[in-house]
Amino acid sequence: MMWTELLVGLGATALVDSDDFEVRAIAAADLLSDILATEKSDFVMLTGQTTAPAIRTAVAVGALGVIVVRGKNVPEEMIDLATNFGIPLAVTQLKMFEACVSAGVCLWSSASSKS
Amino acid sequence: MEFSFVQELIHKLKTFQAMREEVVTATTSCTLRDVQGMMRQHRISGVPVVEDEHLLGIVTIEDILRALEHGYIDDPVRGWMTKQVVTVGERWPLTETMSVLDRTGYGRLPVLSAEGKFIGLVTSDSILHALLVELERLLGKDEERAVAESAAAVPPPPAGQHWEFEIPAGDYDAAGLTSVRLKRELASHGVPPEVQRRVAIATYEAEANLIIHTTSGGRIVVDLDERMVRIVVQDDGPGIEDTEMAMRHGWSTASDLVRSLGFGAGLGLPNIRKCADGFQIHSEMGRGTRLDLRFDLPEDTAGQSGPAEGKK
Repeated sequence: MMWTELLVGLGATALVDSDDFEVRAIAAADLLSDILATEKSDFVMLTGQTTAPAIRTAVAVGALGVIVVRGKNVPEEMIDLATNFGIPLAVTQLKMFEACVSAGVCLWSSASSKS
Repeated sequence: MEFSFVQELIHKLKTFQAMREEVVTATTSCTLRDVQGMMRQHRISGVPVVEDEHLLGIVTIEDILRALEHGYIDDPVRGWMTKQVVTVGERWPLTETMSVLDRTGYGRLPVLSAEGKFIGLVTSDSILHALLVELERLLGKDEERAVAESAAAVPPPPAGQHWEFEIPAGDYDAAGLTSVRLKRELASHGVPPEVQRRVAIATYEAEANLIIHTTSGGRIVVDLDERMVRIVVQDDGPGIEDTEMAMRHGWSTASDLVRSLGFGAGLGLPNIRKCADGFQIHSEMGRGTRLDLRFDLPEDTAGQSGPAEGKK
């Protein structure tokens, strides 16, 4: 699935733009410790955290992008940090569970269309 | 190098280290004319309005000019001060405060303590002053070190890279700062991305532990040579009562506040052990905790300059 397809699927608004790229997995958690423990690769992070440490977590684990759930107001500081590190950042109005379901549907549709 | 000396200096400093504590303030009952007088007397262009250590607003030179133009210069400031004030936290890294100054274009930013009390002002001048003081301190240290080394005829250190990071306790906003800096440094020295990632995750977890659980923070010391990355994480207490329990998934003594910020799930130490090729922990109550970590490098990959190529 491509990043832009995921944004459309989640009705998300991009806050830090980037070229399109392929997303193979999703890691979703409000606990940054959970994200730090993931073994996934080529994944996008879904989280309700809107702090600088959330972006640094994405950098540490090599997340391809970050989507903030629950339509939270994303502070400028977080947007600046994502821009500095080249991390695509978006926000969706969906709650965490709804966002996970929608992201799963996107991944599944993409995999089905390829097989 | 990814970071210049001055950038590194700025990264290490906290906002409170660059603020002015002696600040001229007004109360809500002062008139705008009183504030105008303060500005003239002290040659300043903004006066915070503070009562009971709480920041209620700020009066700027623009507010005074407007008052003079519209004839309400003798009104109390409470009705005319700017109430939506951009503030910064005392424990914020100075880099983040500087980026707020840059983004807003303001000449000064009030600094608030963790309890929300007004404790000072940070300005471009106060930042410059703090940098110069710190620079002077470090240069003095370097001179002392050079003298000591020459007296003892110590041979030069072996080829390799060495970094030291101080991690303050309780500074939750700074979590991950050392991790991402170290990851960049390792990338610039040719460490493969897979090792960079494991080091960054382990360092992040260690940093979070120092921030959340220690009484006075700690240190992370990193050495890179052609064979491995060695990391020592050390603090002075309080120590871990039962290291066996602390190594279990999900065991944590973190507060609800810490959990709400995304940490304290009890995954830290197990995750560090999972990421590292060598892991040792020693902790003593009242004395502190020391972690010794080793990350092996594939042959012929480390110690090179320039970004690494490798599998994700």
